[in-house]
Amino acid sequence: MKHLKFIVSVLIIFAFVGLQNVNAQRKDKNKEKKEQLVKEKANKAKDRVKEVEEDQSNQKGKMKEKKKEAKNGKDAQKGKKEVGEERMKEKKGNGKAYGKSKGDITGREFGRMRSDVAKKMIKEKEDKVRESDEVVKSGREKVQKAKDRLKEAKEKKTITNKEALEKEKKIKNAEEKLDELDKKVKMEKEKVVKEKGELEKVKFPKKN
Amino acid sequence: MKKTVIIVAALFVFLACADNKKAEEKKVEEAIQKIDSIAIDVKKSTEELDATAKEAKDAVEELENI
Repeated sequence: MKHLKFIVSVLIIFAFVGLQNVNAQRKDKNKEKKEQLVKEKANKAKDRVKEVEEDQSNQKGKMKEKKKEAKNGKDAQKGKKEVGEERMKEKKGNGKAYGKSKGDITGREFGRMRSDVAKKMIKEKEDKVRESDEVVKSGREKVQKAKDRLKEAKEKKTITNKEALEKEKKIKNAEEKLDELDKKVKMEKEKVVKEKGELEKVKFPKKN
Repeated sequence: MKKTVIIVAALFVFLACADNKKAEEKKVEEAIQKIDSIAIDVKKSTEELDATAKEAKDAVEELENI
C-alpha cells in the first residue's frame, strides 16, 4: 500500500510537469518556422474552403436527386430513409474536429488562418464592389451618350425606324442591366459591413 | 483513507484538465465553422456580383455601335 501512495504521488507530479513542459515547448517554437507554416497552412485552408463548398454543392445535388426519387414513387420509403441517412451524415460531417490540434498546428492557429483567409476574401469582395460601382457609373455615361447619338440620328434621319427601334431596345437592355447591378452593389456594400462585423465578433478562447 | 483521497483528487484534477481542453476545442470548432460559413457566403456573393457586372459590361459594350 505504501507503494501505491508513492506511485499516485509520482503520477500527479509527472502530470503537472508534463503539462508545463508542453506549454513551454509551445512558447519556445521558432517564430520564423511558425510564419512559414502559417503561410503554407493558409493556402491549404483556402483549398479546404473550396472543398467544403464543392462538398456542399454536391450534397445539395444528391439531396435533390434523392428527394425526386422519393417523390416519384415506388421507392418512396427507401428514398426517405436515404435522405435521412444523408442528413445524419451531413450533421456528423459538420464536426470535423477543427478545434483539435493537427500535427504542429493547434486548433486556435488553424482557426486564425481560416479567419485570415476569410478577411482576404472580404477584401477581394470590397474591391469587386468598388469595380462594379465604377462599371455602373461609366455605364450610365455611355447610355446617356448613346441616347444623345440616337436622338441626333433620328433628327437627321440617318437611320431607319427599324434600326432606331433596335438601338432603343439595346439601350433599354443596358439600362436594365445597370439598374440590376446598381441594386446589387448597394446590397453588397451593406452585406460587406455586416460580414466584417460578424467576422470580428468570432473570437477564439484565450490560452490558459 | 488518505490514499483514497489522493487517488480521487488526482482523478478529479485529470478529469478537470481533460474537460477544460474539450470545452476549448468545441469553442474553437464552433468559431471555425462560423468563419467558414461567412467565407462561403462571401465567395458566393462575390461570384454573383461578378456575373452581374459582366452582363452589364457586355450590355454597355453593345452601345458603342450606336
